[in-house]
Parts: sequence; structure tokens; C-alpha cells
Amino acid sequence: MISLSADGPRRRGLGAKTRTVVGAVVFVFLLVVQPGLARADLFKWIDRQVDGAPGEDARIIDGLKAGPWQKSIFEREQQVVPGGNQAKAAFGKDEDGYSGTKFQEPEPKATDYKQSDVNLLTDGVTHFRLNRAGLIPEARLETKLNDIAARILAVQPVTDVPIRFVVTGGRGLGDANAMHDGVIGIPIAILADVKSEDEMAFVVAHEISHVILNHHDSDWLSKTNEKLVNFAEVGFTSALEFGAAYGLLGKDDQESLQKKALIGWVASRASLFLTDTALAPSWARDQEIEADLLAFDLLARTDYDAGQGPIFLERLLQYFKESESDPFAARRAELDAQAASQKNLATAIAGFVGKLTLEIEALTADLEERHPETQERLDSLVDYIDERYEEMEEQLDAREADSSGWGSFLSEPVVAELLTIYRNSWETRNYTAVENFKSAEQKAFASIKGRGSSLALPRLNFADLRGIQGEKNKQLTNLERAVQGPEPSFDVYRQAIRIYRDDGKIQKADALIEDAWLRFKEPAGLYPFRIDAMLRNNDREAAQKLTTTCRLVFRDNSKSCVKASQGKLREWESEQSAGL
Amino acid sequence: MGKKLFGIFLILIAAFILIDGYVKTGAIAESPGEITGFNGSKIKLYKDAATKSVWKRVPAKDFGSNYTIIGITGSRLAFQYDGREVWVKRKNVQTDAVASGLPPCPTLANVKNESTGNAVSRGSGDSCR
Repeated sequence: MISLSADGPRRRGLGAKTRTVVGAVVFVFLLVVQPGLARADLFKWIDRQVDGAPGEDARIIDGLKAGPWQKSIFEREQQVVPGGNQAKAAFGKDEDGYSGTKFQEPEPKATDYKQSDVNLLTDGVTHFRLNRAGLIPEARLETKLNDIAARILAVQPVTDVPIRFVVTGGRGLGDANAMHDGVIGIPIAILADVKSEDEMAFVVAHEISHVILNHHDSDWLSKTNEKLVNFAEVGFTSALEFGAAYGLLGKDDQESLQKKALIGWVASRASLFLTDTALAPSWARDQEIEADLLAFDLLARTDYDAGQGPIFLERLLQYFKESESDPFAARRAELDAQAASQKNLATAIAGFVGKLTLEIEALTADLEERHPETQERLDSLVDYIDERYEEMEEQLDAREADSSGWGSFLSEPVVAELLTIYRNSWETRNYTAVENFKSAEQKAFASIKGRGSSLALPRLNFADLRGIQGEKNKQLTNLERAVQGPEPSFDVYRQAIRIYRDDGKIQKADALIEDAWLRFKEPAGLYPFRIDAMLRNNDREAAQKLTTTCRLVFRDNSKSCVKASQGKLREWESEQSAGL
Repeated sequence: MGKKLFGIFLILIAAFILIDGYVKTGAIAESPGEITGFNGSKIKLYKDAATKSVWKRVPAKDFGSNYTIIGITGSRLAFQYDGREVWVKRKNVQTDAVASGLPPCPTLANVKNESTGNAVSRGSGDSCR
């Protein structure tokens, strides 16, 4: 900008602007259009040049500082009470004689948006309750995992790590999750599929490593950028509308504010795009590798067979290879079948064009590449062991994984019953997907035997089957049983609420909404329903406030909240049902 | 006498065939399987099951796939490479013995992800519903 001013008005004209626009267009084109894998490689390469690979210089565990665990930035941010904490943090020396100018906290207005108005950070347990698979309320499973964790935590220097394991009804081998608050969710499928406690210990150590290494801090930038975009989109618009409506802004002021709003929006949007497409995936990949390496360090210090780490990653690799499907396969087969039966030249050409378009789409699609990523993790771990554990090789090789002990654990009646229930429930869903309703029913009935009768996922999968079969009453019965059970998931509530609303049982729906609002700590998915209920009760001010909060905090639910605030929630629900 | 001897001879031959078949079948059933891939950037090859010193380092990309495993110990596997028997550490190879026994993920057209919370997590999440 400085050089443009110095060169005078002519250079400031079309040429510079065109170059900027062309440059921006080419950059965006390269980022958006080129295949996802190549893009990922580009960012990975850049990331490696800047940071180096995890474990490149030393053992990860040697970099851990002894002392109490530090909470993630997210959690620290959540705990800050605006005003009160700010004064203490910025002027904490006051009692020691510091004489700075005190920060004057303005008096908050009743209509101001306050952080405390919304649950900005969902806690770990609630997060797993919100997932479709839900939690399995069985202490024996949690105790087993917590015992493994205790052995692992004992060999590293960070103290007070708040680890707590819960078991979910998840069926994906790669679906273990560590939350920012130390709550770790392990799908029961992993317990069922690993062959020894040593292999399970690697999974446990990997998730613990994410918490110890504060990997959740990197999400802070992404979430902050998302908030910036939301504020730019919603905040400026609201200010303009408000200012114009009450005559507080002149025409010039409005134009100036609109320009600022546009610049703010473009900047925050670009920042979010860069974070979401480049930085966050690159960090996440490195963090997965770093957690694998620290997991190995930890297991090497216990008496577990650390060699089961690569075995688990090998199993994961195999699982992804088997479970991945080509998303274009069905459409391709359909077009091929049409082409084979075509006699008419015009439709044959149309079919050919359709096929060509499909193949171009398939070439440029940003497919989720799971096995190259897992192979990279496996390669990194093996190279790390080769380089950092050469002198311990014999000692580590001598360890034997205990598969019989793990077999005995899985055979315990309480564990075996749950494994049978969940396997039947997953198979219910598989048979439902291929419309083999007879087999789906058999599996569904098997899944609700004994303890399964009140567990969320078996009832939910059975309810889905009944819904597809058009058995609405039976669908609702399954959902109601789950709601009354010990650990109903959010999906159970959501489906039951929809059925009640469809049937015009608004009071029953509202009661469930109220219950779920508290149980799941004000989840995003319920905002539109709350707004709708407030409007029905003529509480317009509260409805408007909730709509603003929804638009600022939950991007994905913004449209449904706005629709609800316009009294068009039913319309929105119908559109969504039609789109499913 | 000659017939008896001939009968015993036949029985012995039959027994030999049966035992041989059993042994072969047993050997096939207990075959350690195949090496399906390699892990790491450079694979250390050893001359036997116990030698500590590395005989040769071969880049992983220079190997093919599906080598038959011809020997196995607690931490090493043997296979034929360039016409000779070589040994490799277990962590450096993928085998067909490791697989997942979980039912495959369904592809349901009517499953839709909806935003439910504002949590931050590390992990793949809910990839198989």
C-alpha cells in the first residue's frame, strides 16, 4: 500500500487491483479446486519445514515438565468471568503496591450478550451423551480402563491429570476420543476387537497423551476464528439495523460501517478458511503421531508389551481398508446399468455426459483419506522405535502380550452380555440399511433382551427400523423406553420430540425439551425448539435474545434458529424431513 | 502269507498317505500366513532369528507385497527375499493375521450429522454410526 501511494494515482488504478484480484483468485482456486490429498501433502510439507516431525529430536516423554497438569486454553477461557477476573489478572499486583490506572468495567446492560448466557464449552461427559451411540452405564468397563490408565499415569512426571474413562456404544475402531477436560470416551467396539490388555493399553495411553500434551489448545484458534466470523456476520448487521432504525447513524456513518463490516467479514472468513483447511488438519495429524509416540514412551516404562502399539495401528489400517467404500460406486453402477439398457441415441449421449461428469467429480473430490493417514502414523511410530529405543530393543522384545487375561475379562457375564447386545444392535442397523427387515427385526429383538431393554442405542436402532417400516407407535414405544432408561442419548430425545410435535402433542414435546435442555446442558440442537416455545408463550424478548445467541455461537444451527424466531419452525422441520 | 504281507503293505501305504495328508493339512492350517505390507522407512533385515547385527537395510518401498511367512519367533518373522531366507522384526511388517472382527459400517442414506454441542475433542469422533 505504501509503494502504491508513492507511485501516484495511475499505479493505484486498475493494474494493482487486477493483480491483487487475480492473485487472490489463483490462490483460492489452487486451494479449493486441487484434489484434497495433494493439498494435504502441500500443507504437510510446509508444516514439516516449519516445525519438524514429532519425535525428530528426542523422546517425547523427555520433553514433559514435572508438575501439575495445565488446563487447556479453552477451559481457562471458559472459567474467566468477564470483569471480575480481568481486574484480578491485569492488576494482581495492586495489593503489593502497584499503582496503575484501574480498568473501569462498564455496567452491563440487561440486553448485552454475556458469556455466561450460553454453554460455550460442552463438557466431556455431555459431549458423549450428545453422540448417537450414547454412554454405556457400566462401572465394570470404566473401572477396567481407569485401572489401565492408573498404571500408565504412574510412569510419567505430570501430576493431577484429570483422566476419567467412559465407554460409549460406538462401533468404529478409530472412534476413541479425548476431551479437553480429561474425559475419554472409548467405544465398546475397541474393547471387543483388541486381542490383549497390552493392545488396549496402547489406545488408553494414546488418548491420555492428547490430554497430557494439551492438544486441545490448537482448537482454540479455530473456534476463535469461527466466533469472529459469526460476530462479523451477525454483530455488524445487527448494529447497522439497530442504528438505522433508531436514527443513531447518518448515511455516511452507515456506509462507513458497512465498509468496515465487509473488511471484517472478508478477513475473518479468510482466517477461518486457512485455519480449517490447512492449519487445523495439519496440526491434528501431527498431534495424532505425537500421541502415538508418547503412548509408546509410556508403555515402554510400564511392564505392558509396548510392541502392541504397532499391532493396534495395523489393525486400524486393516479396518479402514475394509470399511472404506467408494462414494461414487452406486451412482456409477446406476449409470452403467442405464447405458446397457439404452437404445435411444439422445439418452445414451446424456448418459455418457452424466458418466463423464461423475468421473471428473470423483477425480477432484476431497475424499476422506483414512488409510494413508494411518499408514503414516504406523511408519512414524516404527521409525521412532528404531531410532529412540535401539538399546532397549531386546528388553522390549522379551515382553509378551497377555491375551488370555483379556479374554477372561471379555467373558465376564456383565461384559459378555453388553458385547452381545451392542453387536446385535449394530447388525440391526446394517440389515436396516440393506432393507432386509426380517433379519433386522431378529437382531433388534435380540438386542433388547435383558439389560438391552432400556439401553439407548439398541432402542434407537429398533426405533429407526420401526420408523422405516411405518410403525409409528412402535417407534415411539422404543424411544419412550430409552428415555426412561439409565442413560438416554440426545438422539433419543430429539426423535421423540419430533414425533410428539408431528402428532400435535406439543405439551409432551415441550416437557421433553425442558428435560433435555437441562440434561444435555443447553445443546445447540434444542435452541430452535426453545425459541419456538418462547414465542408460543409470548415471551418475544427472551426468544430474540436466544436467537442472537444461537446465531453468534452455533453457526450450523443459525438458519433453524432464525426460522424459529420468525414462527416458521414447522416449515423448517418439513424442509429438513424432505431433504433426508 | 504273501497275501497278508501284501495287505499289511497296503495298510502301511494307506496310513502313510493319511498321516502325510494330515501333517500337510496341519501345516497349512497352522501356516503363519502372508506379509501384506511393511512399516517404517528402512527395514532392517537379519540373517537369522536371533542375530543382533543388521545384515541389510532395505527401503520399505523396494519390497513387493504378499510374501509367505516361513518362520516365526516371538519378535521376528522370516520370508524369502532375493532367493534367500531373511528375518525381520514384527513391528516392521503387516500380516494377514491381524484383522478387525467388527461388523462393517452401514451406508445409510438417511443419516445426517447435526450440530449438538460446542465441545473440543481429539479423535475421529463418530465415524461409524
